[in-house]
Amino acid sequence: MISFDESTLVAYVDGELDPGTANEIERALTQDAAAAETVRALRDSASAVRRAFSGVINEPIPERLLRIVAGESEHGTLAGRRPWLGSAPRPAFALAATIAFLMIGFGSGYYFHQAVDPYSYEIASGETDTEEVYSNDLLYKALEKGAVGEEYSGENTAVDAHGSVAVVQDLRVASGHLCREFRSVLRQGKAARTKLGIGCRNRDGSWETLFLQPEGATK
Amino acid sequence: MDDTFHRQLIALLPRLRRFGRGLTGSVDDGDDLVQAALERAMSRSHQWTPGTRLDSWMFRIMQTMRLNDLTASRRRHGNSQVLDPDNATGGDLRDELESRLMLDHVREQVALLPEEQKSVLLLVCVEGLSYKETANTLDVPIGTVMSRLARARLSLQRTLENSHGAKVSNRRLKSI
Repeated sequence: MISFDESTLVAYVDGELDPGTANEIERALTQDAAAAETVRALRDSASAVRRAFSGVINEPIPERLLRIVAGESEHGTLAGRRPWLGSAPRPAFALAATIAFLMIGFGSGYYFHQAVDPYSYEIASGETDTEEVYSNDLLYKALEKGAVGEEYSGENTAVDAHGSVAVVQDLRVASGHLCREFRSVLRQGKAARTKLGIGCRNRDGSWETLFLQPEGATK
Repeated sequence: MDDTFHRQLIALLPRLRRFGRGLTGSVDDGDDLVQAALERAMSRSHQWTPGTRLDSWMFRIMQTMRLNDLTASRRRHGNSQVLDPDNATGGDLRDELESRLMLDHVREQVALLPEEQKSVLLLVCVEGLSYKETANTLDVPIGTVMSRLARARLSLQRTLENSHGAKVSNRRLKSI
């Protein structure tokens, strides 16, 4: 006789039961609406939790964590592109190159769950990752600390890029999240693009950002 | 130091951050936990046997440190605004925003779960460990994993279905 306690049902949902028992439960579920409802709840919550945390994986890794693995202390200094000056034993060269590569791209240490941007902008030259990360640094500061209209700008001379971000207005949302509309302008060489978007502050301190339709690329 | 260890550790960083994020409910607290665990791991790398699962080893370190930290941990709260319905922006944007904010609500509810349910839920449903691997990582019987997991998911689902927290569908975005 199959017992329908929660532990058995969760194992069934997660495929952790042997096939024989799983089949028996599957048949019995057609006769038991309450158990079927429990199965649905177990499935839906697992799926929601998985989706809720899926974005974290794509975030750039904060430098301070990379430094630890490189054998440095949290505040180890960077000289140019060489990430380790401490006295700790150095990892072998190939590994060191991996660490250096990871650090070069992600100097900001700020975190976004970004939408896939449906509007791609062709910028004449430069590496997209670098320019976006550079812009994201300013975007985070503007969202987190900026007053409406207060412009944050910076440049990355290595790729001839200059960018600025400003919050355009604050929004109220029914869920209680703080949301802010922003404008981000990036100039690189002779090309420029403007993005309008909305950012909402997650409970954990990160920002969700979404981009609205382009305000119009200029040359 | 062993290079295999370093390489695998780097590859693991996103998942360690994700586990830390789930346990603490905060970007900074989560990364603080990962950092502390990494420092411990680096000083104990000789205790890890190459060929065994480094992820379980690290998750266990994080879980242990988390339990030690709990009495001293600070909670960080984001800003929250007053609820208010108003004029619509484009439908697609609203739907997308709504679903993102709903996921944030899910994360918030996960953070509120009892610690022993939370860690099991994260390891099984987010990090994809089997029940057996989870039982080994947390050093509990497999039956305990199952009952905590079921309880976590059922109470979470009940909370999400009862709450009106993140429902933006009939509400709109309003400028202030």
